[in-house]
Amino acid sequence: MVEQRERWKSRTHFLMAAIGSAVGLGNIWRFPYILYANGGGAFLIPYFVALLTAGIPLMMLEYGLGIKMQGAPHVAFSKIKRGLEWIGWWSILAAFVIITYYAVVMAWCWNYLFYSFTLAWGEDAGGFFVTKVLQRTGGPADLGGIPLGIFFGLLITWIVVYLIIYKGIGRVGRVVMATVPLPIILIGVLVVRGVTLPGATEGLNFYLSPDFSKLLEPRVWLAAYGQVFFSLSLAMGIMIVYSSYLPKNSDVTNNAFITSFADGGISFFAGFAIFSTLGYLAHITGVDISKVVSAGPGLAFITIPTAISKLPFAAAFFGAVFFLTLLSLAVDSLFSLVEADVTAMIDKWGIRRERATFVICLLAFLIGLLYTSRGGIYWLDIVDHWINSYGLAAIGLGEVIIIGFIFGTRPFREFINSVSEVTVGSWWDYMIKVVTPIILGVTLISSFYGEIKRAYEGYPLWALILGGWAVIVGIIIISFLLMRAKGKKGERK
Amino acid sequence: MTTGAWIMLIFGCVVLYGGLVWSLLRTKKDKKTQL
Repeated sequence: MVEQRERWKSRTHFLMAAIGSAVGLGNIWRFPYILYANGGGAFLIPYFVALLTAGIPLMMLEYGLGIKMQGAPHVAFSKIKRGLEWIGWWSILAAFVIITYYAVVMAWCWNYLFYSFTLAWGEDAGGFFVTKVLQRTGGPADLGGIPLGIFFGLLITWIVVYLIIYKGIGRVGRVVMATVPLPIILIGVLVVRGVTLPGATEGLNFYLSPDFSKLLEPRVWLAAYGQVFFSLSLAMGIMIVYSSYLPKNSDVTNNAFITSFADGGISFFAGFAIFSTLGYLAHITGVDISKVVSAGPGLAFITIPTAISKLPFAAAFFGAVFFLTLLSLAVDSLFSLVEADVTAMIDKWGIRRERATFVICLLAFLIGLLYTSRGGIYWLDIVDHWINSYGLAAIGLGEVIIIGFIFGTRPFREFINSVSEVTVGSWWDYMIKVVTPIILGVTLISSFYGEIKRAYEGYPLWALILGGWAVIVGIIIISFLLMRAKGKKGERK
Repeated sequence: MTTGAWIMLIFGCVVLYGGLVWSLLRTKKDKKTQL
């Protein structure tokens, strides 16, 4: 009997799930800062070029692979060439490593959602985050115990993810109809609050005023390609898995355009909430705005809470709105990563979805306990850096080489044009065979050069080897072992 | 806001939201059957 693959209930469900996956914490805490630090408004030019020459072509590649091969990444690559299955497993395992720490960041958000009702961080948000919430130790060698607040935050996160995923893609489709529009509405609330505060104009000038001289710097262009690549949930197996639940005659190219423009649009919109608030913080504290600008967890858990405390009214309400925004942005990115792993297990061994979901969630929860420990933040930082710099960029490079030089861009393009609403010309071939490999190759080399030049963030070498290189080498070894592992009956070998 | 900031604001909106609207207007396939 031929197994019936699950299907999205509608194209809208698929698109919302793909947009929800692409739009995550990085859209609010990374994009606005990257734009500001790389020429302000002028950065939009390299960003748009990167979107058209790498982001959208790669998205088309991943959607095309999922729709054509109707399986998780390891299935897709093994159908191209038997010995390439391990590259698919590499992306699946990278997704697994990411979920183990991404859920911990969500655990912090749960804690802050409750803290925001009383503005518990007070006047010293930085001290509160480090000593009260994380209870950070002196270094990665000292793990310490596990703060209960983060532990329960992690537990809640995994229960929520399990309940969303275990019933299948149908439930995911219904959930994203709420979790994708919600953060956009909440960001809208924050934008309205932000732009009506004194000093907001100063912040927005900082965000958008163009410095065209920066466009002559290669690092600005590299930053644009990096932002596009990491923001679109590429190379993690997600887009291949999500599109594998579409029928074989589904659109490829237009879905890629919609997902990519929606992701960029939400990032751009979030920048108004962040920079108007930073402008207000600079105005009220009397310091230069360049002194309050930050990115990543520092922005979300220190700078913005500081600004929220100083709001003229309803500070607790806007604090709750901000952390609810982070949670709703993060949840669909997290369950899309989990879905990639669950689908890979189902496709390989044919096990029941409930069981696969339970195994992945439980394993990720247990490994995540390392990052919830008092010294866990150091390990989270190291693993995240290595996975992004080497894990994902290398998979992206592998994907374009496989399609560009093994499968062939022309037959692949003919397939995607045969099912798509917008046809692509031979420019797509050049992007996949020339532009994207060069950019990803340069990104990999420059990251490696940076590692040789100085120890990342001054961490001891043993920690970088254990949390960085060992994780990457481990992923590659396990990828080969999984390729060799016996699959379900009928699996192509 | 400065003139430069306004210009880049309009540019960003046209490129990103214009691109999104352009792609949404090109959807022809049925939402359910994909045909």
